[in-house]
Amino acid sequence: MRIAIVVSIIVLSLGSFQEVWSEQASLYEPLIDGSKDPLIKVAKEQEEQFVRRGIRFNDPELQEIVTRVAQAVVPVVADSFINFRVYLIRDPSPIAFSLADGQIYLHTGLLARLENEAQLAAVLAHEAHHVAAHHHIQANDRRHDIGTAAGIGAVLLNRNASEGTHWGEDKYDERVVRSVFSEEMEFEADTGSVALLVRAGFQPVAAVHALARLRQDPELTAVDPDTSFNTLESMRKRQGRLQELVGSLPQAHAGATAADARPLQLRRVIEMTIDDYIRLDRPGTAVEFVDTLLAVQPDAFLYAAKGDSHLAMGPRPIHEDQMFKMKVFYKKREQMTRDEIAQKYLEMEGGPERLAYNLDSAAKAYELALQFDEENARAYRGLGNMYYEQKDYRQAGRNYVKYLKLSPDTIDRSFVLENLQHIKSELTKQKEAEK
Amino acid sequence: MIRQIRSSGWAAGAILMLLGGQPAFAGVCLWGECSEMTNEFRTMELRPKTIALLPARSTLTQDGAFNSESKVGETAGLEDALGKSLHKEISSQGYTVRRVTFDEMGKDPQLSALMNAANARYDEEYATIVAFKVKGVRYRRYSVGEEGRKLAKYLGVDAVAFPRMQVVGSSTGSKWMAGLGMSEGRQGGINMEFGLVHARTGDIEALFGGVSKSSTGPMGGVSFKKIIKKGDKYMQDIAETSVRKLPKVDEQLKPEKLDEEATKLVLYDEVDEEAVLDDLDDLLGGE
Repeated sequence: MRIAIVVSIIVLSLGSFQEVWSEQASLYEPLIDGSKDPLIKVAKEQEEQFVRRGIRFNDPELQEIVTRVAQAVVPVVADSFINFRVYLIRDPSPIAFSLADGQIYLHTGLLARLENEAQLAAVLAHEAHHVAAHHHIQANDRRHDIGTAAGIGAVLLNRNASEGTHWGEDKYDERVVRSVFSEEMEFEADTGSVALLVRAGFQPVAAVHALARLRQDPELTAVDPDTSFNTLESMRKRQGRLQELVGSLPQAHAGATAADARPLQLRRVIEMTIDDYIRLDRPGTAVEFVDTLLAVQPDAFLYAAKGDSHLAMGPRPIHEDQMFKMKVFYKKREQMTRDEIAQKYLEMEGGPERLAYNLDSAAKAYELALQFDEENARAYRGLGNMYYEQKDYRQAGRNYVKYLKLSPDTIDRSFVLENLQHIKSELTKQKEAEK
Repeated sequence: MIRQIRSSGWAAGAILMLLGGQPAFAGVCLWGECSEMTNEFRTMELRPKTIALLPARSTLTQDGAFNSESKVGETAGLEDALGKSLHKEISSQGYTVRRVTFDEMGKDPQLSALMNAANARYDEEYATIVAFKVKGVRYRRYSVGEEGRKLAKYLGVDAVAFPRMQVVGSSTGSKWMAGLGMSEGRQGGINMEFGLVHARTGDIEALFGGVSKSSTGPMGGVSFKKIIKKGDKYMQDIAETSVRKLPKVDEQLKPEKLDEEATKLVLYDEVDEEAVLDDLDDLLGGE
């Protein structure tokens, strides 16, 4: 059935694409075989758990945008167990995933990276195709067969086939994060998304652009969880194949760019994503993401955020994976806290130089932020933090005080005041020593 | 060697591993009850009086004949029962406990955001603790930082408790397979730990945990169905076990003699905002 759909789509792409796709529902055959019930039950349970644990990100304005675009692009399906709906999750990794019953989830980090509604439509169409073509059910059946075979094999070898449970992966159920679709399924969903885009009046090249945007992931935040938009390697292949497909479409569809689509101006999501990258210890990704935005439209917030990102990097390199090659460090890394990792990087070759570079870059970025807006509170806080770390208490105190004056109701007021208390005692000591 | 491992629970876990056992749990407490505390927690310098008890985060696994399967639908009931039992047990030690519920979280977006951020940060540290570095707690090695402090401040408490639970139950099939010698017996049962993050430091000041109804060997393991059916009882058991080593709110403990120099902790008195800013104005010379 899967192959039939792909062939149909490619054949259609050579003909009068849009007209035929107005009747696209017939291309998605209802499920005849396949054990859907366990997966639908899990999807429902997962939905309840997301709500209960507050994992969904509720933002009426964003929800309105994604729902509107989804309504335009998702297909009509004959399966009664599928009901398409789209939800958001606050997470900076550029990930989208779907469940067998039609739930589609978008991370805020994915939204922050997309340029326009056509690219958003491409992601939604890709996930909708997975659902409509019953990829979850097929993948689950296949995994179940493999799992059972492995289990029997383990029994024959008198080994325990079960694995221990792990922490840190409990945000999503194992069957969500590990529902690894085959490469063919992914490409089929890419192909299907192109057809759905055309039907909805979006330019199909948006699918290629969306993949290109989502590949920008220097610290590999999307590798875990291993969801639909997963490894960079598979994304590279997919982008190439998608480019070929779009190139083979009639000129009217293939030639246009995504620039004519309605831009996604989700400034709030972008700011939130940068902060989340820093908070979740991905400052290198934050630096690269901010740099791409600064190249388009520099402003005070972005420069202050760039400063914070460099400050958070400390002695770390932007592309941490270079260091991963050092086997010993990689093995131990998982057992180290953030501070210990930073200390380790500092002790490594080039560590002090990287620290000096990042501190210098942070200082320059904060100064640029203040050139754009001399009352930018975030820049003053960043400078305060930077000088505090460097034990330049006079400068730190000056910037912290300015920050509190500009931002009197900030949630971190008490922490800044604690630092000021320390600064006061240090400056008092200095003054007494001078006497 | 065993003497250096403070808790009997961790010692037993280490022995199990040395003997080639394959513990199913990834938690730090593998047997009985266990605890770790900083010296400031032991000597009451940083002993909280009020604790916000967050909803437990749990993973449930049913160990089948051939595969293990994670369960989602059953978590809600167990987490709720655990929350009630922990509330009762921690309160009985003299602490004032403010139990935060999922309902409360759902109605308050700011609380939800703060909790998600703090939970994510806690899990990052907890993953390291799980990698057999639990002793680091007493050396103040783990910190939830600003995220933990912000949450505690928002909830108006001295400390926040982050419960984490793993449940591994056997199916009838897996028991029979083990009984017939066709697969190794597997450790199963309930493992629960909660870390206490202090509002003033943002550090994990203490960690308490326990294992309940654990068993290994042929025909071992607790029935998953039984755990779900008698959830309240099992949760009460695990809460009692885990809280057993939590000192009473006013119970002074002797500080540990630490092997290496502990992190120097500088604690300031409550900040007098006006005084600090005025004094700084003088010190900075009106710059």
